[in-house]
Amino acid sequence: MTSTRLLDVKELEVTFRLDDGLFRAVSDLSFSLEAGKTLGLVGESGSGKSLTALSLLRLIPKPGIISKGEIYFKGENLLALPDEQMRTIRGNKISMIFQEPMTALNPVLTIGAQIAEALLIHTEISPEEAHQKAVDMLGHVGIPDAAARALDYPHNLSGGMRQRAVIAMALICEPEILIADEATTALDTTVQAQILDLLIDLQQEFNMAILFISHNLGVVSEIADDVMVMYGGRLMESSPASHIFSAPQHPYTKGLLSTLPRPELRGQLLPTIEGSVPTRYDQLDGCRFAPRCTEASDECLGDIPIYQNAMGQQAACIKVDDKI
Amino acid sequence: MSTAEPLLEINNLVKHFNLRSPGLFGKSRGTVHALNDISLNIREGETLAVVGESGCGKSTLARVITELYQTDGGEISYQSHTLRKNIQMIFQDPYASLNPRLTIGDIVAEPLVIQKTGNAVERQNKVATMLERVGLQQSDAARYPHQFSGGQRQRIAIARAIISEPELIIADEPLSALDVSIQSQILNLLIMLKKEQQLTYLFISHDLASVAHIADRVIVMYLGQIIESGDSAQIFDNPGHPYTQALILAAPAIGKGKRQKGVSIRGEAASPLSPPSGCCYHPRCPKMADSCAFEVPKLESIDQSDDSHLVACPIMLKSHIQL
Repeated sequence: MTSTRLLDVKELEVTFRLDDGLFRAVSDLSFSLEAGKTLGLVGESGSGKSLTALSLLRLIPKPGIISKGEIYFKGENLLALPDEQMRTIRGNKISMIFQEPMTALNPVLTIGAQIAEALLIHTEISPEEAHQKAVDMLGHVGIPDAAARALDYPHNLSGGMRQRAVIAMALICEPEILIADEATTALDTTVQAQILDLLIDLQQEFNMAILFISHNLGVVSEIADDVMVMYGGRLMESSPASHIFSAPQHPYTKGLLSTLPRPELRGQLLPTIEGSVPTRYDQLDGCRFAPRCTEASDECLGDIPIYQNAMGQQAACIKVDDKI
Repeated sequence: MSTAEPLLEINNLVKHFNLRSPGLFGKSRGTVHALNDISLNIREGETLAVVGESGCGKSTLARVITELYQTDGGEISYQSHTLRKNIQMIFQDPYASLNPRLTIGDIVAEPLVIQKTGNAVERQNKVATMLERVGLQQSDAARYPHQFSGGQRQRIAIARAIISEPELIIADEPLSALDVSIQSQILNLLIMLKKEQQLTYLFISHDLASVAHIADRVIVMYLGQIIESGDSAQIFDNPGHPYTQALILAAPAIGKGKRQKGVSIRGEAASPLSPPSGCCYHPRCPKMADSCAFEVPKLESIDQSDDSHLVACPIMLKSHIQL
């Protein structure tokens, strides 16, 4: 397979200017997305995973700014584009689905109108044609009786159907990159499985790159080709999905996986990672995970380079075994 | 479990909610059958888990047991009067369940104040003991909720739940609002406290992995009905009802690799306003027979020799007996 790199993020940094000083929410983050592949982005609260997603669309909420780095989409630096040109990409070439389908939809517009809206903005198309395309897309994402549903309002639909409508909205312009931020978190388990199937199907059909963001390691393992683990605004580990769950490199990844309940340990005490996730008041130099890491030493307070092993696994940790 | 004495027995419990349009003379918009003919018992010293998806009635069950809701039929027998007065709850969201204007000391002491137990000094000492027991410090009693992280807040909520030495604790999704690295801390705490204080838990969750970890017995609910119940191992290793099987299959798990197509079940749970006829799961069921559309299934034992594993699916029971 030849890899088609669609997006290259280099040394991204997101900073918030707050009354009590600067808060670096994302630091020194580099990754890339390939057509037809899914990159899973895993992290806990405050890890910077959602801000990373919003950076790609240049939608960082104030008072935050992208303070450093480059984001190349097919060779063009998105951060250098004028606003009007960015608008032709946002929702068109790169689109996003959010966690809560009820808040992502406008309650006073019909489903069909909301889906057609993106087409009317980004393409030269008549309203009738746009509506027809919206109906087709609703059918495509598995909504039965799509022509009738297109005339419904969001409150007429169930949670799973609403999330399908949100996906239809994101896909209507046939984006090259789809960002899914906790897209299945609010759904029931059986419906979540259906939406994951749908995303995998649609990816094969449209050859999209998907950035799939979730706090749930199990969900990510079922959909991702590669997995990136963030903690406290920094990359901890980035590895192929085939390796990260069986041979995690970073102590944080190892720790997270070890804390998950599993059949052999039923009823027994589970391994834990002591302490809490860092807040913006716990900023420090070096590795953000060091205060909770059992392997940490004084060296961890210095600069941490990213090491890579022969399996293509990268880890930002000076303690990893086979660093190069 | 060796102790078979039921702490709490529920027989044919029914809970309906009548929905009305807003206003004094609002029209009735139908009835939600939140709990339909629920019978179960909770045995002393066990962890009984209730699993199911949104709208299945699991949280309503908790509220009926704690008498936050009145029943519309059936009965709940509490083993003793003291039990009935002393059931405690742990809620999902520790950001919403702690009063931001009270100190941790006041929050944790509240059950004792309500039950008029001890004097101020005794209560203060007990708060200190409880805070240490849940992994916090005595000095935390003077602080306020906003000074704590989500995991620490859930520890505070747990301290409040155990301070009155309740015989039964109902934990409604106690892990789902917590970060992944914090969940195992709280799960361990619940397991340790149960041993130390001989607690009984009713553990309500949609997360099968944590249920499999902590529960002795499991009840699976769907649209207000119990569709399967049994020992934890029976449910997870040998699920009998097609819905339980689908739920276990759909639960995301590490080690399965990338998803294979065609394993997820179709459709979504019907609205509890208008549940399907017959077996409420039949429109989604891959094993559906014609009779399922009108025959309401009863919970029956899957194994004649012992009645610990009950399944409400005549189709599965028939095939099981033939095997």
